[in-house]
Amino acid sequence: MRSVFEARNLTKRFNGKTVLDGINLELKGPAIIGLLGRNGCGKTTLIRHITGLYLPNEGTATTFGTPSEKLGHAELVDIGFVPQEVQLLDWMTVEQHLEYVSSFYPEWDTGRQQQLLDSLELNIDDLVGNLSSGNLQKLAIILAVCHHPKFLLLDEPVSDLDPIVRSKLLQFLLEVLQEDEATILISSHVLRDVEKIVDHVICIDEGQVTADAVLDDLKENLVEWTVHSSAGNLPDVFSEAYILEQEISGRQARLVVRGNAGELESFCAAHSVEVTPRPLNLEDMFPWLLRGGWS
Amino acid sequence: MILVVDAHSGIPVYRQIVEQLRFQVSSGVLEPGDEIPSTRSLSAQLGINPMTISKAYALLESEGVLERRPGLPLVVRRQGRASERSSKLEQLEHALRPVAVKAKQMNVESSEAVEVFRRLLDEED
Amino acid sequence: MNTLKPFFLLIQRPLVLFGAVGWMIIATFLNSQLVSKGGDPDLFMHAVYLTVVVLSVYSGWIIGSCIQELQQTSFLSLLPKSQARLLPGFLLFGSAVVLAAVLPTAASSPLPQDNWMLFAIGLGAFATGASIRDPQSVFLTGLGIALFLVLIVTSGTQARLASDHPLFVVFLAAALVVMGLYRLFSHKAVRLRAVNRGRPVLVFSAEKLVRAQKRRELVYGPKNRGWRQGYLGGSIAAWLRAAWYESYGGHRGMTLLKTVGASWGVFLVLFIEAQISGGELGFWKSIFWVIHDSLMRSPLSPLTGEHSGAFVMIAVFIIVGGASMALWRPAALSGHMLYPLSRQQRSAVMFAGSFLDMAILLFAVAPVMYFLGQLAGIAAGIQPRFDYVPLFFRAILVTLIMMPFAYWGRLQMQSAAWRRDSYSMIGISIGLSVFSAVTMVLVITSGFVFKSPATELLVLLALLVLSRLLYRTCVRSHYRTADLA
Repeated sequence: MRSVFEARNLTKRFNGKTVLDGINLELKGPAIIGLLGRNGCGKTTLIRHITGLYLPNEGTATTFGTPSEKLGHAELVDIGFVPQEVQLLDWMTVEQHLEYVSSFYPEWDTGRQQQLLDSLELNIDDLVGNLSSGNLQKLAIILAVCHHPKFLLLDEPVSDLDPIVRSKLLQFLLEVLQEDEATILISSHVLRDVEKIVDHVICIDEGQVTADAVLDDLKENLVEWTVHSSAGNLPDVFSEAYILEQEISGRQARLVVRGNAGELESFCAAHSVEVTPRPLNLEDMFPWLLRGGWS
Repeated sequence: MILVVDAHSGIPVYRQIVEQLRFQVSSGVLEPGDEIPSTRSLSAQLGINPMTISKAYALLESEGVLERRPGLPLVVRRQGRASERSSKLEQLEHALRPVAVKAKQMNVESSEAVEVFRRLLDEED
Repeated sequence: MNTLKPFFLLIQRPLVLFGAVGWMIIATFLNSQLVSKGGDPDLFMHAVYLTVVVLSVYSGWIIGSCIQELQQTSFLSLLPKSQARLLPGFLLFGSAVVLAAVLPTAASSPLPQDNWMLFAIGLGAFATGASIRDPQSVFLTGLGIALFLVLIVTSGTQARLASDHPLFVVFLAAALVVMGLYRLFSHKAVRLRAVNRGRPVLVFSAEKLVRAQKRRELVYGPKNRGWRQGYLGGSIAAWLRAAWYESYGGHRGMTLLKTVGASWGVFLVLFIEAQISGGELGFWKSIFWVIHDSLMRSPLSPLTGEHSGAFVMIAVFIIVGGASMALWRPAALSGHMLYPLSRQQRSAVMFAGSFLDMAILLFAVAPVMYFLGQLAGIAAGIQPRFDYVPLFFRAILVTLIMMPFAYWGRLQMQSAAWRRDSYSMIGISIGLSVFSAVTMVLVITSGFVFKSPATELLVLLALLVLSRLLYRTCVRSHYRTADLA
């Protein structure tokens, strides 16, 4: 694993509002990393720091070992970026735009370009200005991957795509991971899609990193317990530190805990109850990830 | 080889793969010497991250279920009778645990519960 | 207050208020000054009618554009009684604006009973202006424009009619108001606008302006616009070619011509027309004042003396110069992609692009202006003259020296537009016009300060180099510290 991006005490302010607040983060790859967070929490701002479009007010953002203000040709030819709001040159056709952007990079894989044009169903003769938002996203994706970037950044790349195209795209990202040994950072609200392919998850809330962990570890440690007491009512409240949320009613309770088999056993023993654990998927976990402390 | 994984179930995908492969070995669907699909092809087949699959394979390899041969695909390892048996029983225990919890919650007598289980085992399809 | 609120919320953009109301204030001030300085009272009414009508139409146009822009959003037609909500505010605002134009003159007018006629005609003009700009019906739009022209040109007639046949004038005005209201607010018109969202109506919306520009480009067709360069690498020259391609497309000649035309075209037209009316660079007379003089014998003459048209014309020239500056699109990397260039390289490309602009200004815009000006002079029966070539050249050099300020203004304008910051946009437009004025002043003073043309040339060239160095510093520092998205 090598480090592709590092943020140290990264702070960014706009009009007096602090969007990123002392972020400390390291992205290592090859891997697929999911960047999650609510609207306006700073995901896009962070991604723009990675690409060097934004400069930090305080702290540092280092991509491929180079600070963001010094990012140059050598680093940027290895980065692919799919922005959330795609703005391309409207007067060109898809084909011309692809030709134009291909001259930015030393190597352009026309085979991959054709494969994607076919699989995402994009017509090369359409005018970019007339493309629907979904097709614009498709074009933006093709523009970002055909030069085999080592670091691929996708900011809400699937929001306008239909389910079939979405699943094709996610499959393709797995290919990119393997073929190019790329580090892929994907920021998306569609957690179901993200969950299928990411191995690492970073969660940002209100400018701070609240989670930075391997997805499997999170799944194993964040569980919902259904508690059943066969011997009388349960106490009014459970005071174990690892309990994040509790709902108690008579002889039953529903707890959300941060723990695993060991905690479960000791809990059952301590309170003379039976517990049925239910694992939580990413969408279930999301509100908890926002609360912080998952690193 | 057919595996069914649900990325949205909350159970880590690598664990699902490990459990299913263990089961397939224990139930004879996979026999010693059978080749396991490569990380890449299984990733393409299931649409999941190849690193997840590598993780599963590594775990199974460390448990002695799979064997790595230099330059060749992973194969199912022939296991000793004792370890085969203990593996099967471990899987069975894991499957029965929730049932046991339910039985305890309903205050069913152990002997009655075992009787139910025996009847189910003896049932003809 | 709730009946008026929807309308006033709609027009509260500073740019709109400035346009719709600002001129009124300026004009009424001018008008009231006229009489106190002893302007000719007989002709006073003519000038007043003209002013009130033109400015009412203009103000109505801006407000009408706002309303039509809103009507083109698809959800408005679903809101209950949406038009009824806008109507009271519209009527109140129109009345207030026209009243504000009329009142100062009413205080000093020698013919008090005409003021009600003036008010009525002003209201009619306001309503006409509000309904002119509708892309739905070319016929009705043309009719509106024709009405507008009639209203301007016949101010003398209007004044006469108002004193002789007041009822007729009131009837006409009322008809105009009703027609305008019908065109603007009727059910059918609104529904059509919501469905056929046509060209953007209010160009003060930056996004719509940009989209309109782009759509214009799409019309040219991409047939010859291929890009056959290989890998660009890090070479500034190669990226400059890319910037040129992005700005003018593959079909270079025509697109460049059209771009120059779109931004400098109005300036060119004014220049030619100035030539037609009087040779000698014709700044002192123009078609505008020819018409006015002949129809009305401008009451401004006692105030401004001999060169009666001069100040207005110069002012118009300055404003149009500023606007041309604002509309000019330099060759630049305009896409919002992640260009694989370091910030320093991007600033180098932008700086190099400014030299391309210099070349275009020197070798394309200037000669065309000069050539067309001479043709126009010949057409007006004036012998081609070459003794003002130095003046022309001086003007170009001074413009080139001052261009960096214009660029800075344009950069700020773009970012203000994207931030939808109307205050900044007004300020910058004024700034660009001031720049245009300073340029003219420098051109004139330079002619007086330096007796020897050689010295003048040397000094101007030195200033040119200095201003370019200053520009380079600014561009570099911008790219070193700014956010690029």
